[in-house]
This record gives sequence, structure tokens and C-alpha cells, in this order.
Amino acid sequence: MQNRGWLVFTLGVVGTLLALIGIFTVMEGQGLIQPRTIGLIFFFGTVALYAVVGLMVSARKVSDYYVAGRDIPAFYNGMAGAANWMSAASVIGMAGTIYLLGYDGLAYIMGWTGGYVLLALLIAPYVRKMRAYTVPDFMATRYEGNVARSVSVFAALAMNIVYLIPQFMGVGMIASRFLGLPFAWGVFVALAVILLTTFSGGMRGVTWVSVAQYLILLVAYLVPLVILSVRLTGNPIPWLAYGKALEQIDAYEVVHGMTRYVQPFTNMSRLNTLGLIFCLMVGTVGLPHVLTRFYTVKSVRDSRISVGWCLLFIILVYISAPAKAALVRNDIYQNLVGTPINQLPAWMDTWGKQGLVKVNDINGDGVLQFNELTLHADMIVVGAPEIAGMPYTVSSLIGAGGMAAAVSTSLGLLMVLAAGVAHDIYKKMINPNASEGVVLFWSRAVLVIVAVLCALAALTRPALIVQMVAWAFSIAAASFFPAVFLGIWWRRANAQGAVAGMITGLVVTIGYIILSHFYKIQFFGILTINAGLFGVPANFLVTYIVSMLTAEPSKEVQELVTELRFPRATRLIGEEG
Amino acid sequence: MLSDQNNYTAVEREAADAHWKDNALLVGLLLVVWFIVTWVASVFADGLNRIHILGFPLGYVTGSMLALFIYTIMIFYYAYRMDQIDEKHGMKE
Repeated sequence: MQNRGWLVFTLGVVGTLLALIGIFTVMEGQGLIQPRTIGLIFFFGTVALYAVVGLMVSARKVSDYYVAGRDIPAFYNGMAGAANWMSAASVIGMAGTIYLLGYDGLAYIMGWTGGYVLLALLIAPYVRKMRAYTVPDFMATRYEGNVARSVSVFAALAMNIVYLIPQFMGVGMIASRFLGLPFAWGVFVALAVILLTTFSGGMRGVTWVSVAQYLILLVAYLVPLVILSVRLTGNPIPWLAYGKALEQIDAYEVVHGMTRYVQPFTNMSRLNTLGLIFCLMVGTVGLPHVLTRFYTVKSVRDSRISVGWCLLFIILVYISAPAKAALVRNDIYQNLVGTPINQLPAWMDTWGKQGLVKVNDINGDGVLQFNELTLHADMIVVGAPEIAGMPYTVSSLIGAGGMAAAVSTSLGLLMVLAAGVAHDIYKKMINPNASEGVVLFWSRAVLVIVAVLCALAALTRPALIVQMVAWAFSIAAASFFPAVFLGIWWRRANAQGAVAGMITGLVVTIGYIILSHFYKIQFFGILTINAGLFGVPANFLVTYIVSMLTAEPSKEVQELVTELRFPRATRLIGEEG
Repeated sequence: MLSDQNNYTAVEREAADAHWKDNALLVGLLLVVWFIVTWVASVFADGLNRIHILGFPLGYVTGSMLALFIYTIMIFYYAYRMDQIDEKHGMKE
């Protein structure tokens, strides 16, 4: 019965969206509707959907608020996880980054998916077995006490804020584009949307909203890609069609003596490309809102399958990004380069006004060459429909998809943050006798305060979206991964080691980010986005050394680590092996 | 956190060790595949690019699609095999 409710909801969202796209495209073609109106309908329509769903599924108990009573089917839990996972960086920024970097940009594709293998094999089933509400709960149980708990809440706070700011920037840009507002107003619209959706339902509400957001972003990503593929190659299956595009790109580049798109390590050094894959993978495992998603399933068995579903839903978008990048790149080589500068298409002018497209006739021959054209990474996905001459309906759809991604990631992050402070600090450390109502009040208060602070920080645009997201991954990798990994797989890891390791990882990573980004000091040529390359080994080393120098963990904890190995509650009998 | 679980099942230490050994072996094997697909394939991407499949240079398409398929299949395979291992050693939930 419960599965049926989810299925009806899923089909309903996709069906409505496809019907709307069809109707609006026809109406736009007939001139019955203003393009601006379509943008407004998609923007407010999706926001209203999230708010209504969030309000309908309200949290009744504290456990509902954090872990949805552990009754979400694995399939839909995976879908919700995919939405929480994919942020503005994945949906808006990634294809453009690959367009610019070629093979080296694939580091994002592999890094943001391969981490799930580590998560599935080494972490998720064991974390679920421990039955912790949150990551700090895990730390407190495994590392006996409130010191580990407080340090991990602090690390989660640092990582979450760095991750949230670019989400607000992303929604702010989309809101300002669709509503015609200045960027600052866009950010405040984003704040209002995000608060509206988190406020009601807790984790259960977030899960339903996230499923809707996944479906919207998937449709928004695939519809323009399929149209693009049909128009440029005549093949409706873009994932097969772009092989041909890659061939033409390569041939063109060889003839013109350019850097080859498919050749590895041309835009980033080998060390930085491989290092980025490493940081993103390990960071995936350390992201607290991803880990929490795997507490919300019925059983250890479900947690194993949930990770698989989650990755399946993610790769539907991830295998499409390189296809989109290659098709756009080939289109620009074949159709745009060689156009006289005074006959360039209208979209270049529109985007040029926002500073996202630049044309500079270097050799002064009045004809566009590839190296005279600069496209900003963030405009490739949003601009692709215009580049290929699609209706405005498709552009607004992409806006709605990008917003779905950014809002749902923010929801996941804010939930974890609120839970961390209210549940882990207030309830567990300050006032253990607090009633459920008081704890819920605190979690909501924290949520509002953090959201407002992040929105204010977003106004200053501290760095690029993709850059800030990569920082968040490095911070997560360097603070949580070693403590969680060793906590499960190494019985000897103790509280002193884990706490010292987490603090070292945080200090080293944040230190390198500040040095490399603000003071331009680099060691071994390692880019600021790869700060985790220093933090992760430092954390492992310190955890190992300090653990070995101090007493081993208590008998209970060592038994707990053994207990985690088995899916069912188990007491071992017989001789110790 | 485990205190709310009162229904413990007594399991022979030998059976438990055998279960864990099977688990660790499976995880180890899959991690080798993960390592090859991710790191070995990336390092040798330039050489692999000389091979073309349906127009795709092999090194490029490994990073853009094949690795992702293999990751996903591996995770489902792990879930499927762990079910069998749990059952074999009487550890089914």
C-alpha cells in the first residue's frame, strides 16, 4: 500500500511536468503566452509543490523529524538521496566544466560517483547497524562521549556552511533571472523558498519533497539533451550519439592544431586530476547529509540496496553531462566558428550583457575563431536550449531543475545541521530532560539562523560555485572519513585518536584553503580545490599515532565494533578465536 | 544505541568468523575492481584513447560512462551477494 502511494506521486509529478512542457511549447509557438509568464509559472509552480508536499507530510515525533520513522522504501529513499546529493554544481555547473576542461573535467563525474562504492562497501550498512540518529551520534557512541560529539558537530557546521553558501548563490541567480530581480533579492527569495520547505515536515517531509525535486531536475536535464541530440545528430539517444560528436571534435582539433578535448591531463596536471577524484570520492563518504540518508531505511539489508538505487538515479544525470558538453562543443566548432562577427546569433548578445559570453576578434579578420570566444562554465547548461534554438519553455524548465537541485541539497544540509545542534548538543549535552517540543523548537531556531547567515554570506559571492562545493568536500573528507572508516574497521581506534585526527584534518584543510585561495601559496602545485589531499592523510596519521599512544577503547566499544559486523543483533558464544 | 535491541541471537563464534571472512573477501574483491576502473584506467587513459568503440575513445568513455555503470552494478552485486552470505551463515535479518 505504502509503495503504491509513492508510485502514484512519482508518476503524477512526471506526467504533469511533461504535459505542461507540451502545452507551453505549443502555446509559445502560437504566441498565446508570454515567455516571461512561462518562467514565472515554472518557478512558482514548483515552489508551491514543495511547500504543499512539505506541509502535508508533517512530523509527529522527534524520530519522524530526523529519520522518518525508518519506513521509506529503499527505491524512493535512493531517489531522495540523489536529489539531496546533486546540487547546483552538478546540475548547472558540471557540463560546462567538462565543456571547458575536456577529459580533466571527468574527474567530477568519476569522483562524485565512485565515492558511493566506498560508501556502500565500507560504511553504510555498519552505520545503519549502529542505529544512530546522526553522524555525531555515531561518533559519540563509537568514541565514548561528548568530546567526539562536539568536535563532529563543529566539523559538520563548518562543512555545511561552506556547502550552503554556493547553493544560495545558485538559487539566487536563477531567481533573479526568472523574476527579473537584482541578485540580492534573488538570494532572499531563495531563503524564503528554502525555509518554507524545511519548516514543516522534518526528514519525512524532506524525503517526499526530495523525490519531487529529483523528478523535476531529471526531466529538466534530459528533455533539452534529447532535443539537442535530435537536432544536431538526428539520433534521439544522446548517450550513443555523442561518440560521433567526439570523433568530429577530435578531427577538427587535429586539423587546426588545437589542444585535444579527449586527451587527459592537458588543463589540469595529472596530480591535480587524480587528486580531485580522490577528494571528491572520500568527501562523498564524509558528507553528513548523505550518511543520514542511509539511517532512514528499515534494515541493514535495505541500506545496502538504497546506496545502489541512489547511485543509479545519480548516474542518469551524470552520464548525460559529458554528452551535453560534447554536443555543444561540436555544434560550436561546426556551426558557430567561421561566422562573421557582425552576424552572430542573438543569444550571444543576451548572454554577453551578463558577462557570461565574451567575443574578442583577436586577429581582426571579422570572422569568429574558437579561441576568440569565451563561454562561462555556468552558462552552458542554462544556455544550451538557446544555442540550439529551442523554445523558451525549455530554458525555464532548466531553471526549475537547477533550483530543485539547489533547494533540495540545502534542505538536506540544513536538516543535518539543525539535528546536530538541537539533538546532539542541546538534548544530549545541555538539557537531557528537554521535551520533544523544546528540541524541535531549537532545531528550527538553529535552522533559521544558519540559513539567514548563509544567505548574507552568499550576497558577497566569496568564490565560484564549483570551487566552494569542492572545498566542502575536502573539509568533509578530512574531518569525517577517517573517524567513521577507522571506527568501523579498526577496533583499536580510540576517542583521543579520533578527536585529535578530526581537529588536525580540519585545521590542515581549512588552512590550505585559506593559504592557496587568499594568499596564492601552493605546495607541490596542488590546487585549492584539492586541499583534502593534505587533510585526509594528516587525519589518518594523527588518529593512528594518538590511538596507539593512548589506552585501547573500553571492552563495550570493542564488542560494539564486532557487533556491527552482523546484520542481526548478535551475541557471540563459544571460545574466542 | 544498541540498547534498544533486546532480541539478541546467539551465534557460534566460528559461524560469525566465517561470515565476516566471506564479507571481507567480497569487499576486497570489489575494491580491486573499483581501483582498476578508477585509477588504473585514468592513468592509462591516453593509451586507451587509441581504441575506438562506436566513435568513443575508450579512455574518455571509461571516465564519462563505463566506470559509472560498473560502480552501480558493483553496488547491486554486493547487496545481492551479502544477502546470500547472510543466509548461508544464518545471519539473515
